[in-house]
Amino acid sequence: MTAGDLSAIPREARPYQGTTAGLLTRLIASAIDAVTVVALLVVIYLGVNGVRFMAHPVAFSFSDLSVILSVIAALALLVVYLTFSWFVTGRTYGDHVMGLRVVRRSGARLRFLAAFVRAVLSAVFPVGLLWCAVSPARRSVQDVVVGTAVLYDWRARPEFPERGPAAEGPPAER
Amino acid sequence: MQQQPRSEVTSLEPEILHLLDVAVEVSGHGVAKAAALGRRMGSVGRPVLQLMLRPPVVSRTHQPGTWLDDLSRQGGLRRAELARRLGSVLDVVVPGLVEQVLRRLDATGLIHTYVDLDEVITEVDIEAVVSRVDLVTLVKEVIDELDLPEMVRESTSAMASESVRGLRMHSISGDDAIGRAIARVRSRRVVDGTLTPPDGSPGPAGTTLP
Repeated sequence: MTAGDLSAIPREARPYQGTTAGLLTRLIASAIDAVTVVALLVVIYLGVNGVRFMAHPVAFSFSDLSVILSVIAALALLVVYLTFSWFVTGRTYGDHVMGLRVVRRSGARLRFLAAFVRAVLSAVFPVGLLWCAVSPARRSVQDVVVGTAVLYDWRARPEFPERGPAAEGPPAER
Repeated sequence: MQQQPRSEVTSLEPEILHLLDVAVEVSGHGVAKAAALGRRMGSVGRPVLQLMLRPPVVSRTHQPGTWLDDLSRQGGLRRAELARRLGSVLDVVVPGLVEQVLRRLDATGLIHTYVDLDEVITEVDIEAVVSRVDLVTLVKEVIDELDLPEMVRESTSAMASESVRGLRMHSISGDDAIGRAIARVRSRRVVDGTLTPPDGSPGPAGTTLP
């Protein structure tokens, strides 16, 4: 009996664990991330206005929403959110919901620079995700450029190989 | 009527015991004397016997001792051969014989009658037996048979996690469906001769990392 037999992953999902994820799952995860970032933006906007209200309650009015500023803020927040999510845990909230994990091609966790570049590419060129539908290895443009892969991984606490040169070998069997 | 023979036996017992003691004493004395005589005869007769077996004027090959050694060696070989033949015969006969005997015996009943199983079990070192069992592997096999994680999931998971699980499985199915559709389109274009995939790959199936 292997350790995987005792995992909390349902039997029907076990064969998919560790394989690269397809377009639909990744689109849903990206949509969840987009909603998350928008919700964060709204919270930040309300927080900033709340502080302004407490500072000047009489002359308070909601700050104007510049479209360009909002888009830039959304992209900046998206990049920060994606970078730290992929660097720290290998998954964003959308990835967590959909049971995905972003790793290097060696199976190791992303380095900070790789996570940042991938986040920037995902923010400014989201259409690149569609390439994973036609890619034999299910790799998006971001995956090809940065050298990453998106795997099905339903485990709550994924085990990464050690960072560094030793992590360049093949990943542990999943 | 039944008491009288018993009293006669009782009255005869001291005389019989007396005679028995005398016989034992005489026998013991005789055996001791015979042993002593044997030792004396041995000490006297050993040089004579040695001289008879190994006469100094006769060559070693014609000495009686050499003949006896040859006979002893051949006898040993014959004995080993006999033991081998007897062993092969016993290997055939004994199992059949024992089987026939056991078939005619109620072994379980005999054990129940003559063996105190409770006493036997109390003397068994249960801890030593348990220590020889790989309990971890055993428990894992039992859990695997029961699919305990599935039971825990079914009994404790909330409706939300079940929905997420369903969403994940449906999305995986959607991924596979998209992959199959793309593969069909690609293979059709290959057949038409309009496109030849550079690597001949069949389509976007899920792949593991290298």
